[in-house]
Amino acid sequence: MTLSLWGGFCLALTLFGYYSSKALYRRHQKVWFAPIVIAPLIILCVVMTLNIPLADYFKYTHWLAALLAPATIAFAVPIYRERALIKQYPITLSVGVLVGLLLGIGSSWLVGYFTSMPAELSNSLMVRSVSTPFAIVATSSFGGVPELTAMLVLITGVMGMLICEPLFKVAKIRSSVAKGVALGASAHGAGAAKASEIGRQEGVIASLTMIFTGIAMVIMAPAFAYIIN
Amino acid sequence: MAAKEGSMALYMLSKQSQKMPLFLQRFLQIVLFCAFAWACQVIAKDINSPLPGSVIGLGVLLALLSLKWVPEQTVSMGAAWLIGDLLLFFIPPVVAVIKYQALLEHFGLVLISSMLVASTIVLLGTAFTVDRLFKLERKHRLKVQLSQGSNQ
Repeated sequence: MTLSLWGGFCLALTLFGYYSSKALYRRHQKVWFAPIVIAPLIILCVVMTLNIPLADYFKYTHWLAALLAPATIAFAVPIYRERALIKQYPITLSVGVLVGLLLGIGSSWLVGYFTSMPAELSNSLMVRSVSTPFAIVATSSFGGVPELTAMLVLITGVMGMLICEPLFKVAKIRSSVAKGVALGASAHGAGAAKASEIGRQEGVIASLTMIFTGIAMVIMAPAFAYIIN
Repeated sequence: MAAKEGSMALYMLSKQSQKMPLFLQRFLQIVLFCAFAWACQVIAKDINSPLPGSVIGLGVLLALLSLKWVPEQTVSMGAAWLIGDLLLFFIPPVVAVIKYQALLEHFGLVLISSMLVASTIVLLGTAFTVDRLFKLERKHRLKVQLSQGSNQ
């Protein structure tokens, strides 16, 4: 196996882009400096301007993507740690997860129905409201493409972060549980990050909702795909 | 019994590892997560599981934690890193979207505007439902507490 220079450069670029945007966000706590916005943007720009072939980009960075599976398993730890909170609001949480999931799939299906997007794009939309590691495994049930799915999940997360506060204000949503569940179910990790800025309770509830919505999506995706088709 | 011995071994490991530097402990935990994830994926493939290995692994680890066969501190640092830096792991698939550049340029505006409407529906719909439900659940709990209080 020969060492690939471009491959090494791309791995370094990805790590540098990610950790520097994280450091930047620590200094400037603005949504536009959030790593979820800046990091992919920097890396995409460099790869596109240098015209690096994707095969070279993936030579070593695919090992980073392989960490999505252990990260999924790691979600067991926060569930275990917050078991007291889960026992406190079992109905609210499970109904919230279910409603969020159904609205997420339903609204995405409507987008595909009312616009004339090609199937690979509208199919990839279906899982957009759940966290990436779950979305990437669930998307194949709907006939989605992993790469497009990853991008659409990311955009959905950023959108949720941006629109949540004005929407909560207009709709007079005040309870921390409602805010947490709504952010976790509609904007996954980005929503959970935003929720923990609003408050600790909101953040924990959003993280739990995000995890449960992801698991429910993976389990129920084949059934949903069957119903839709 | 084998599981009990296994948990003892893990407990010893966690005792010993307290002397290890923190970064090494965290690294070891991450390696353990990766090995476990790999094993789960191999097993899921072998038994033609409808669920992906990663979600099975999540369930197994949650069960092990709940049964206290795996102490929380043997996995907590690794888990915190894997979850905290989740964004780093999905940057590569996002970059691969270059393959679909033409498609995204053509449908970009429709996509963004329709997703904005869809996201608003999800956010408000979920928030409203949970808000009402939470108030009901709280009222119900207060009523139960009140009736218990008057009986005493």
